[in-house]
Amino acid sequence: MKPVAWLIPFLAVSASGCRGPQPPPFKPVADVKQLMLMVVDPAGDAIWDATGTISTAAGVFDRAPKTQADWDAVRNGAMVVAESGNLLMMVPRAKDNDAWMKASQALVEIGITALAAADAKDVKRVFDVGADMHDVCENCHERYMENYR
Amino acid sequence: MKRSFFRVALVLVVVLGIGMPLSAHHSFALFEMDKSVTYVGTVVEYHWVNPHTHILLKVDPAPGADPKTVGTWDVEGGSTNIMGRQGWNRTTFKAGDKITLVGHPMKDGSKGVSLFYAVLPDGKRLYHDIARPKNGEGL
Repeated sequence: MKPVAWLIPFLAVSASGCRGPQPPPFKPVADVKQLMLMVVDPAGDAIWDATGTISTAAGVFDRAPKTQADWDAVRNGAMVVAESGNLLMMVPRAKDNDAWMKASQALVEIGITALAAADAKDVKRVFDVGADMHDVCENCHERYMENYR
Repeated sequence: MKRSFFRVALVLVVVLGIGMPLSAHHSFALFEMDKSVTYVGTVVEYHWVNPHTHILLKVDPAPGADPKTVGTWDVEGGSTNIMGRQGWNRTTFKAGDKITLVGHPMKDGSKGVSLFYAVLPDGKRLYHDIARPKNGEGL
């Protein structure tokens, strides 16, 4: 054995120790379109469909969550919207490291705002957040969705 | 009870008979955005909701009316934020109102329309969104 050969096992162990934790073993399944259709849109509907005004021949009706289960549905939708923003930031869904990330962060934030409105059981806030959430969606779609217009 | 039944029946008529042809949020690629059609009819329902407002409009045959516009149409507007900035609100229209709408029909020929503007009784236009269509064509 050469004089320094005995050092090799120690150097190998030392080097592996400097690598730090390995990336989490994420396995993204849905592409962006599938994520939108199967996760984000239904979650958005839970918020959007909870409020609003509808005029029919029978009269004018204001939609609002009535039971705890109704409010829980809005809360669940809000949470899914918020966490979906994080899912959109993951590779390979992220389209770039700039505007895409900001748009995804905006989705996280609007989900958090919707969650707070649902927690407060504030019908007007849920309605207003729903309108703002549309703007968040549209701002991203304008930039990234093919043939949006 | 009678009222509830009526509501359920109305919903069934809307869902089965007229249908809401569009998913909650979608692109404008579904519509012929370069084509504007005028629809003169009666409001069946007015939905001040997100992500898109909707007007269900019934167009009856009438002298001078384009036969292609006859029927009941789901006219889709923007979000309440977008429409609100143009002056729309939850009471802009109600069921039974006689109105004139101009919009862009769906490419597949189904009875869906993307709203361009409404003509108010005084002749003024109430736009869906002044930014549409592209370049302000037809404004």
